[in-house]
Amino acid sequence: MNREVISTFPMDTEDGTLVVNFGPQHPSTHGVFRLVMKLEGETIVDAVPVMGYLHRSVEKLSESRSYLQGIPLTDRLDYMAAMSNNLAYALAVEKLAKIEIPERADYLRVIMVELNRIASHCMAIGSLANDAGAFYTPFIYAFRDREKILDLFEMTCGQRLTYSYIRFGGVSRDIPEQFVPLCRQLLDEMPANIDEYERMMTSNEIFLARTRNIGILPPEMALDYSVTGPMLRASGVPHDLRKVEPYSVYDRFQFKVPVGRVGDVYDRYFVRIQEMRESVKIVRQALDQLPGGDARASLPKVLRPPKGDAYAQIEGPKGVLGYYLVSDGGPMPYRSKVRAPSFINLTALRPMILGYKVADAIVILGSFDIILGEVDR
Amino acid sequence: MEGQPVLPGILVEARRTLEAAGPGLEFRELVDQLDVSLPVDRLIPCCYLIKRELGYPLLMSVTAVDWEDSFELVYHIYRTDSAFPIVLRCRLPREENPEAPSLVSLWAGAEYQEREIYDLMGIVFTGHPDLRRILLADDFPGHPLRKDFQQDPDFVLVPHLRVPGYAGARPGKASTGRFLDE
Repeated sequence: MNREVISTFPMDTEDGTLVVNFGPQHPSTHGVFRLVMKLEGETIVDAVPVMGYLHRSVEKLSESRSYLQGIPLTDRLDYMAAMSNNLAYALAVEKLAKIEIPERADYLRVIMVELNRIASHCMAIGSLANDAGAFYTPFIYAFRDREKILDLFEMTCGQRLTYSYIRFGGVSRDIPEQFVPLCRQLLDEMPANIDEYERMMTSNEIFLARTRNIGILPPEMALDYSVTGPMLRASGVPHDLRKVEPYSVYDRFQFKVPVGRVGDVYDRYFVRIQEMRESVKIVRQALDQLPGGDARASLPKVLRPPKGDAYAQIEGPKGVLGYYLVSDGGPMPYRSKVRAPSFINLTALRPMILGYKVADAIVILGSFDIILGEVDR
Repeated sequence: MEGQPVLPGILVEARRTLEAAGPGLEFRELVDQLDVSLPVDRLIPCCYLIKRELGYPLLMSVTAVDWEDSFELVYHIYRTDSAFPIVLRCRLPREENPEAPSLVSLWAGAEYQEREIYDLMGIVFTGHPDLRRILLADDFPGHPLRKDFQQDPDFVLVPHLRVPGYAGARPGKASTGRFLDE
């Protein structure tokens, strides 16, 4: 695919450097990401990130599908947090077509998205530990809890990965009766489970040695590179859209925005751990306040939003996830653009890994928590 | 009974600063964002003002729309403490390679987003440090997000895997994908 990239780096360099091609088929790249690194000994002196191996032209496809048919496409972007994608898309369509939704749907959305954030962060810290050398033990612990959340989703919408649950006008169906008790049980178990991850990682000497003061991202640089989400907060910028522009009903819940001090890999890990605890709190409050009523507004079969454009964004587990939709008055979006946080966060990868050792580059990439479905779209 | 939409104070101030910078800017009144249409040669000076003087550090999204008679570049610029963005819109002529100035010198975060627009929409960003295709193959013909894009039936991604009879796309609509020949 990228014949030119290789040709920009002569393989037999005279100054004693070595070119290493890392990926796309490598487990540490979390998918099909490729990194061509130029090494001097073990030190990275130049790097070229290469992506696009999973490109499915989602933006072009949604131009020839109705607004409702666009929802399954959003599931396949960040497949570790498909609920968040559904929500961002639904909010954009609702802004475009000026749809009011029932209050119960707002609460159900928050519950699902926050549960999904916990599941996504489980995956993030599990695979980060994996990249740091803790071979699959923390990963399986994290998966144990992610599994329970997926069971709840399966019970609600019949799917474990591609939910298409949150739709414009509300959610696809109400939650089943057993959902609330099972969810409460999960929330009661979750803090102890997070303690368990922390016992394995937070003060583990090997983990600290691998992550502390590695891949430092200063706050000014983070903002300059449009980095968002846990990465930006780990650098010390308290930017969380749930607080800055409370979409849905986030202004009714009490939660803290954890921030880091140094902006290294460890801070990114620890911000995620704390965010999981905050998400547990949010879901608990949402369950307590959950109102009755419909879970879906009645809408016309074929939605034809008025001419215009709308940009809606949410705080996804990976960063700010935005949808920019343009309507020409017809049943299909004229243009649909995804502001994919993984993709834009990756802009900062090259300057962040220069000067580090190869093994550190893998941990730094792990702390980005990229999902290639979203990077390549 | 709807009154005039009221802009939040922070955007009123932004509007005043941008208006003072010179003519050529068109403002659209919206409640929750400042919508500015501007000629493409004013883009860099305005972005400089927005970032340095008004203190908008986050270039959230860069995108382009193909309006068939012209291209439109859309920039969403945010503050970290306010929900109200400045939205910049630039019209570009509809030609083979329209040019726009790159914002990488102001926001490094524009690098991949501009590469993506170049890749999928064919807009050339002058001054970009590394303007190459990012998602598609380097030798891919055309820019697929353009409305008049036609898939090249002869293009095969991996030439040595080409199978006789698997000729590529059917002629006709752009979004049909690849099918086996009938």
